[in-house]
Amino acid sequence: MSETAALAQPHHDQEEHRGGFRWTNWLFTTDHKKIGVIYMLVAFFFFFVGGALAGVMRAQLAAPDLHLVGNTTFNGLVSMHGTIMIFLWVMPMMSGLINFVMPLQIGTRDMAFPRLNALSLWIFVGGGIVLFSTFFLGMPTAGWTSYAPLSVNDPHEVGMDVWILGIEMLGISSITTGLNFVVTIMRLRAPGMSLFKMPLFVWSTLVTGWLLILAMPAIAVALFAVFTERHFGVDFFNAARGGDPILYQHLFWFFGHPEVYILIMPAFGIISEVIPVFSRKPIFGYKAMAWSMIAIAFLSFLVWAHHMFTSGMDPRLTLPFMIMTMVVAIPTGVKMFNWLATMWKGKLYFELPMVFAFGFLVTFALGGFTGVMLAIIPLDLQLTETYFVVGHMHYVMFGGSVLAIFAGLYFWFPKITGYKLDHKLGLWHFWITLIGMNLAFFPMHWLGLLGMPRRVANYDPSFAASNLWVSVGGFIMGLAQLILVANFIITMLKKQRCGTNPWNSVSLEWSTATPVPPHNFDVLPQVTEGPYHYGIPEEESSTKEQARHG
Amino acid sequence: MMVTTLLRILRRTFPWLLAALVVTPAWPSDFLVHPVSAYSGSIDAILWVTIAISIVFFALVVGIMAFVFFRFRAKKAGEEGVRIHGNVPLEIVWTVVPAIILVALSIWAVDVFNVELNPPESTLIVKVTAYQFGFDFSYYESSPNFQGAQTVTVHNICGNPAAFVKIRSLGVKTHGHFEIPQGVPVRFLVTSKDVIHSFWVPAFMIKRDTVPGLSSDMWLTPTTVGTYPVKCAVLCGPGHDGMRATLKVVPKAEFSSWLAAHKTLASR
Ligand SMILES: [Cu+2]
Ligand SMILES: [Cu+2]
Repeated sequence: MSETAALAQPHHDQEEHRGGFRWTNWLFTTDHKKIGVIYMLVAFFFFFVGGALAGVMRAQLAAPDLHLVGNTTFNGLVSMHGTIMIFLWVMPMMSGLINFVMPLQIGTRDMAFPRLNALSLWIFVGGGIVLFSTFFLGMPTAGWTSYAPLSVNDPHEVGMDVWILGIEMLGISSITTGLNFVVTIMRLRAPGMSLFKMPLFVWSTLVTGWLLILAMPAIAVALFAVFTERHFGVDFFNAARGGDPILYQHLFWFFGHPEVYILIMPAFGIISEVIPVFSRKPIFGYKAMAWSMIAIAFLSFLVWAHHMFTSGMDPRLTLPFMIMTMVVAIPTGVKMFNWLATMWKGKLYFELPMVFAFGFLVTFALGGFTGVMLAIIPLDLQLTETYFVVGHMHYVMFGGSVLAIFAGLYFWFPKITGYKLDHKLGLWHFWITLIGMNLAFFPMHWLGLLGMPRRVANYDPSFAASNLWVSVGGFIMGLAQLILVANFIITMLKKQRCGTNPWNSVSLEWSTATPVPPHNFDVLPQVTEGPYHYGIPEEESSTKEQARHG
Repeated sequence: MMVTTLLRILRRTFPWLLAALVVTPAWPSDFLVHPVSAYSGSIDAILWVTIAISIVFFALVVGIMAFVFFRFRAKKAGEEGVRIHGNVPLEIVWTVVPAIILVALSIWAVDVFNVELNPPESTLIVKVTAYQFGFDFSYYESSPNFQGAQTVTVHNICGNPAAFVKIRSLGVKTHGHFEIPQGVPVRFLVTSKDVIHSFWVPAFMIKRDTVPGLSSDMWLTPTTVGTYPVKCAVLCGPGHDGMRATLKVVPKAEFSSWLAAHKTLASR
């Protein structure tokens, strides 16, 4: 598909492009690309809201016994920071990228259910508004995990009820979105694109779709139970009246662990797209990459109780959960090695997406090692519920998911807008983010090991130096994100077109015009080759090599 | 002009700057948790071996990245790599080697945890009752041979979920501070009056959540005399950060007199 073909065949629907901006075109759209863009814009708004909350927390924690905010407010900040970063930043941001890119990558005209897609979007926006309203109605204070009975205990706190409503709405939105992803991929692939000819980003979407469908109901049920206990005295979790507080944790983590993979799976997909393009080589071990995602997703439903080794559940249950968790490390390691091997004997171009992918490999590896440490029961009994976990989780979520989001953003920005983001500003963004995040998250490991519990508003004076560095690093990291915003604005104002396929990629999304016409492709593409057809065949390159030496 | 020069210098020095910033200033004066019980010593061992293995793998990852960065960097536009799709023997190696290491670590972990799962039969017992926002401690002794003693069902008892413990009160109850004898196994039965908290003694490298309606247990043999902080580890409300207690490990004789003093206090 080429630009000329698109130009030669004008569409009826292209009028809206020419007619300029009309907000109804966005409000009532069922176009996966516009829906994707709205997801991303809303997600970015919440990224900064969640970041601001972290800023207040780190200001409070910059020195021991500062009293900038009260303890109840602090617990509210803890709860809302987690909620926003997970449900209103990473999830919708991934959803946005997937919405924009995935249908293009499989060579189709839209999602399987475009109107359901629009409904998912607006339920998500509604859920976001509901959660945002807790800033005015009173923030929930039981953490994003909202363990019963703490979350049940205070029936007068409106914030908790509003929070439950918001999460339930986001749950519905996620389930319908997951359904849409799965059906779209299963039914609408371009002719010739068999399952094992799909790009790995599409594979990651398929797996994420299933995770959303299977995991979200568990939290919906858990929070509905909390709601009924709060208001109607249905004692699911009240031990004094025959309930079981640990039941909540089983329900929550049955959702909570797969949720981690909902957040990281699309990141795996993004990195698997970026590295081959900028190494000019096919992905190493394509089938192993696809199967390892399936394996990780499957295993993610069998490890939930590793969050509960100290909870008081039957100790006979703990060992199988430790072993299953260790098993997850194997396919994850396979992915790491395959990414590294993809770069071997490549020709590496350090464009911004590749720079962020490089950063991802380093920080995600660190998050992986601490994950193994937490899986080992005797170590977990010391490290769980401490700052070590906070450090681990931020290496995986920020060092993993968010760096991958940035890689994807710099990668697909030219497809979405037609402009490339500025390279120099991008490098500043990368380095300052990387320094800030390591300063902020690395000392957390020994803070936890030495005895600082998570979610505390004050701490022992002996932890002062490390905490100050954590705070300084956090602020550096936060400021770095302003560079990204500046880059958006400057790039959008400059309006320097970069062509349809600036990275020289062979995936289908780059084969259509930019901006993408409403129906994506004038003629549906016919797929004959695998998704990563880069590089010179091995025989050719070795004869060339011989000629040079001979 | 200046900006590009600055950028070039920064690009050269950033990795080093990053390394220096991360490791030096935030280093705590004392990086180690000193093992103060027999059990925490074996945890310390498994911790440092795991860290060592992680460092080796991390060095491997970063080493490969540094190598490809210098060796396989494209020199001009339009270059292509070699079309390699995979290498089965290599892929088997990096599946099997980590698997072996993980199996070994699991076996070791089970071995260490097994100690914790098998408490001695007759011990000193400290019942820990957590509440918003503090800890109460009451003393009992237990033995399977007690006649007519009070029997408590310990849910999720270590190693044997169906067992009961026969306990006899020692008539001592303290609040916020408690003492235990050096070299004697002590068993903790932890529970809560309201929401979930956690009974954590960082120096002993172990914690147990206190759950309303459950009596969970853990045990240890303190080896080193000293005073250790006890902290709540699970978010339990606005007073969570201040939910503390102190634990003092004292020589046996001193413990007996401490216990006796508190018994008379209680009976008065
Ligand atoms: Cu988990
Ligand atoms: Cu607490």
